[in-house]
Amino acid sequence: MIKLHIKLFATIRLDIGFGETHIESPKAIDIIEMLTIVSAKINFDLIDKLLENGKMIPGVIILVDGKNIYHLSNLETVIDKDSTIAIFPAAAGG
Amino acid sequence: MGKMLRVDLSNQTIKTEEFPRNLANKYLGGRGLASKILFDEVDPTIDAFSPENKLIFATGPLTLTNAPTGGRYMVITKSPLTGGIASSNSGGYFGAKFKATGYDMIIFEGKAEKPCYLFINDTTVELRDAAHIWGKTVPETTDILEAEVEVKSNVACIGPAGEKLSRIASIMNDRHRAAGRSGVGAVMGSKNLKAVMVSSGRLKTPLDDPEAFKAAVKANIKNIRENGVTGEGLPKLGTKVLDNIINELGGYPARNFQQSQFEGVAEISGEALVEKGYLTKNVACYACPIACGRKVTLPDGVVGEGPEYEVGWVYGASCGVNDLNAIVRAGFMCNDFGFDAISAGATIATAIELYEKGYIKKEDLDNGPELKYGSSESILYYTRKMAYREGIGDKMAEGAYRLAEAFGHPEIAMTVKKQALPAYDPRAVQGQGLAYATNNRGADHTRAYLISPEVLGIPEKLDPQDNESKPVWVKIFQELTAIIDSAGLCIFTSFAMQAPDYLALIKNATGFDWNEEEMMKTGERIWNLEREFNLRAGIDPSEDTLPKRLLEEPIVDGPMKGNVARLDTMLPQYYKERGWTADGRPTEEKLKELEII
Ligand code: SF4
Repeated sequence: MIKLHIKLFATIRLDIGFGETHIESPKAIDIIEMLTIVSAKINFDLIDKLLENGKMIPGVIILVDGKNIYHLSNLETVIDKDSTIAIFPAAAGG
Repeated sequence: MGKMLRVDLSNQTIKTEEFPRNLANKYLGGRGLASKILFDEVDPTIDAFSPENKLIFATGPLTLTNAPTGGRYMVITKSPLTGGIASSNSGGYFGAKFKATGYDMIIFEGKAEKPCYLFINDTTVELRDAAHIWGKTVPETTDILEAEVEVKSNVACIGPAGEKLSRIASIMNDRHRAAGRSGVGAVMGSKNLKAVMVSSGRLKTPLDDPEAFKAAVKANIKNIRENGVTGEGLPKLGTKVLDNIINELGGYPARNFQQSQFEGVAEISGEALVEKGYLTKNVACYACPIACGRKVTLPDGVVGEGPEYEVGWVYGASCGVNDLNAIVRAGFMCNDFGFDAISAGATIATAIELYEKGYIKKEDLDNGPELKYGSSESILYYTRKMAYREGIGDKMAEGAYRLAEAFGHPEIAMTVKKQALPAYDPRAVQGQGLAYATNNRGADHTRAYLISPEVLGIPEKLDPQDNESKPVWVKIFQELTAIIDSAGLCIFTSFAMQAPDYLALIKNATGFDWNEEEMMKTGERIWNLEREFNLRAGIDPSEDTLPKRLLEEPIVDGPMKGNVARLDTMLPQYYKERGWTADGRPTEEKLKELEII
């Protein structure tokens, strides 16, 4: 069983009122599968929030153990071990 | 419009001059044009506090238009902090309201014998006695001056920090907005100039093609509203949305860059500011559809603006403090005293490390609270001490580098060209490190915000650990930012706007027959001119570097563990991209090509 610690930030966290959840999967999953499972669990459509026409909206960040999925295999990145996933909607600058 | 003011503070005379249109085609306005004037009129080797230094307030051709964020102005002078060019941008309403009185620029020269301030309205420009406001904080000064006139006015002024020549003093306008970096407020203080007040301007910026301009404005506002960053992230959470992003990525410097993640981030992030109920509403600068400013009310009823990401980080993670209330309060104090909050907080973070390592002794603190990471009391207490140069605050008012040097350990200061680093660890974001090292005004993120491609993926995603691609990106960002600053816009527009969008606004406002290449050439000209000023001022290219800690000590923990800033692999290529010599000097050929000499 793969255990995932999901951290949700920015407007997602403000909209749903909490910032963390945990999911489990009996098999390796890709990012879309992970987002689908989390969406069902938190009752909030992450796919709609983060993707447009099947691609990540500019500014959206998904980190798997601190690594941006852009530099892994993007949405096809496979999560096959216990990991921490950080999810940010399109964000900001300082 | 089309005029500028030359104010001789020594002789208390004011002249109106024609705006140098012949130069505008080459330097655009704002930052570019004012830098050219400084370059032509000021000997770069003078002491920044000497009367020979000039202090220039400059608007751009898009200031006082309804172009998105079209209300910015710049302050240009020789910096007492870096010794090179100081060039600080600010928003709010002051820039636009100043321009509405009919002037594009003010050049302050000399030094007044006694404190004074400049009053400008549509019929009068005069220097007035400032004895009654000298010593006052920024909000006190603003309240007093505003009450002296019957019509709505806007004030830019210095606080105690600028009066006391703190090298990290800002010029504040509209109470909360700062021309923050490089010590511009100290130059204003050295001239005994307390404030500039503008009142009842009614003019509008002339436009070359009003219809085409209107269409370009409409299209860009739509882009900004539909963009996730400028349409949702910044309005909802302000720049502090970045705390968690940069921390999760492992590039959020804690305790003066000794760590690159902060365990207390959940308590102090942008989300926490909302969840704790401190955020009252968004605040926008003139003509800004983004509204990233935060109006904040603390539980005891104290009201102010901010903190922005940088301020929250520096008084939070960098000082090891996880008390959001104290951090917000420290940010308010910086606004009230007239400090560049990044530099002020960084100086305290440096002082704490110096103390914890035993270089600052207990007796140096004059019975003040111990300088400890995590101490809310310290950040508030020493910010005040620094503003009034009391006790150890006197040395702190000189900024992080000079403080660390005074205690024999300059290596503790996380600075470039003596200016403190902002909130991104260059070991985690390599391109941002190159941008810090090569910045003409010392360490700073707003002259080339590489976080945009390296972290946010805008306009495209770059690997933050890649070095090869960064020199060319840094060069392009430096040049486009020079255009945005010179036009009179805010760099946050660049999350949603690209070079052709800026070109459309500039061309239709000014009538310049530019293509994109010519516009970018102007950015390159401005960058090289600033560089040349710095070289002539005696800033050696060997100062294009980062603190030793970041070059030699790998990140100790988190996703970026093991990385150092690999500047040596990027800098030679950067010089090459710029067409400079291998030791970082613009060649004669380059300067001639850009018509700088
Ligand atoms: S984005 Fe923020 S800083 Fe820039 S002009 Fe708008 S409100 Fe001001």
